[in-house]
Amino acid sequence: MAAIVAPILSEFREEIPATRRVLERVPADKLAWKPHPKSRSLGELAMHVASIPAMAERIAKTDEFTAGSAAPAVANTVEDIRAAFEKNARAAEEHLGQMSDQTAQGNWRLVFRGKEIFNKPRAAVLRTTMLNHMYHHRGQLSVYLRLLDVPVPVVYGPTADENPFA
Amino acid sequence: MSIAESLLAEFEVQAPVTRRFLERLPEDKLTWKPHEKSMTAGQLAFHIAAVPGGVIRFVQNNPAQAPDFRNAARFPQPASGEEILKTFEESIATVRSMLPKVDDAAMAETWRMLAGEREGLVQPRGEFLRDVMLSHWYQHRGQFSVYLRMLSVAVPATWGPSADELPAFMQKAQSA
Repeated sequence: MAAIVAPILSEFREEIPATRRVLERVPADKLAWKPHPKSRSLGELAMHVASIPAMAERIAKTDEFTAGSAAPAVANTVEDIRAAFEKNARAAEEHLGQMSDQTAQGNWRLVFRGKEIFNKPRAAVLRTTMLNHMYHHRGQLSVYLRLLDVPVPVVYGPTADENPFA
Repeated sequence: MSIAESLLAEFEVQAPVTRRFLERLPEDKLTWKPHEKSMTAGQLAFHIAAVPGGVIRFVQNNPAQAPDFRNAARFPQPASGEEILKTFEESIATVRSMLPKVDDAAMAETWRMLAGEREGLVQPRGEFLRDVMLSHWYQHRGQFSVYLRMLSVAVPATWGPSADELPAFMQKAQSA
C-alpha cells in the first residue's frame, strides 16, 4: 500500500466495526418504515450505508462518474444489507490496499447533467465522498434506530443506551 | 500540506454547510425531541456548534480527562437560536486560532484520554482530531438532518443532494 491512501484505509478499517454494529441493529420487520414522507425508508438508508464503501472500487478503477447514472442497490432483507456491507467493505480494503500514490494523486471527476461537478485527486474524493458521507448517513441511521426503540450502539462515544468508557 | 492545514481546509469548507443546518432550526422547536431518549433539537444543535472548538481545546492536555458522560449538564439546553450561532462562531474562531499551532510532531504524538482512573483512548493526537472534531461532527450533523426533516424544515445539502436542495458544488450544473 502506498503512503497517500494509508491513513484513509486505516480510518476505514477503524470505522468498520461501528458501522457493522449499526447495521446489525436494523430490525428486519421495519425496512419500509420512514420517519417522514420525504425520507428514505429504513431499508433504503441502511442499504445506502452498506453500499458507500463500494465507492472505493469505483474510484480506484475509473476516472469519472456521472451522478444518478447507477440505480441505488435495493435490499429486500436485512441479510441482503449486511451481506452487501461485508462484501463492499472487503472490496474497499482490497482496492485501497492496492492503490498506488500515482493513482491516489490522479484526478477523478464527478459529472452531473453533462457538467463537471468536481475534479480532484482520488484521495480527496475518498475522504469526502466515501468516508465523511458514510458517517453522515450512519448518523441518520442512528436516529432511525432510536425512533424504532432499538438500543443505539456506540459509534464515537456513549449513547443513551451504551457507554464504552463506563 | 501539514496535518493541521489539511484538517483546517476541510473544516473551512464544512463550517458554512453546518451553519446552514443550525440556522434552520425553528426558534419554537428548541426543546422538541424525536424520542424521549433523544437529545432535544436545541441540545443537539448546541453540541454540533460547540464540538469543533471544544475538541481542539481538549487535546491541548495530554492526558486529558474525559467528561462525565452521565452528567446531563454536558449537553446544555440553549435558550435561543442566537445562542447556538454565537457558540458556533466562537467555536470556529477557536479552531482557526488553535489548530494551526498543532505541528505534525504534536499530531503524531501519542495522546491519552482518561476515563476516571483508566485509559479510555490511546491514539495519535491527529487521529483523535480527525475522529472527534470532524467525523463525529458529521455524524451528529447527519442526525440533525433527520430532526429537521421531521420538523418539515428544508434539509440543506451536504455530501450530495437532500430531497430539497443540491449542494453548492452541484448547483452550477442545475442552473446551466
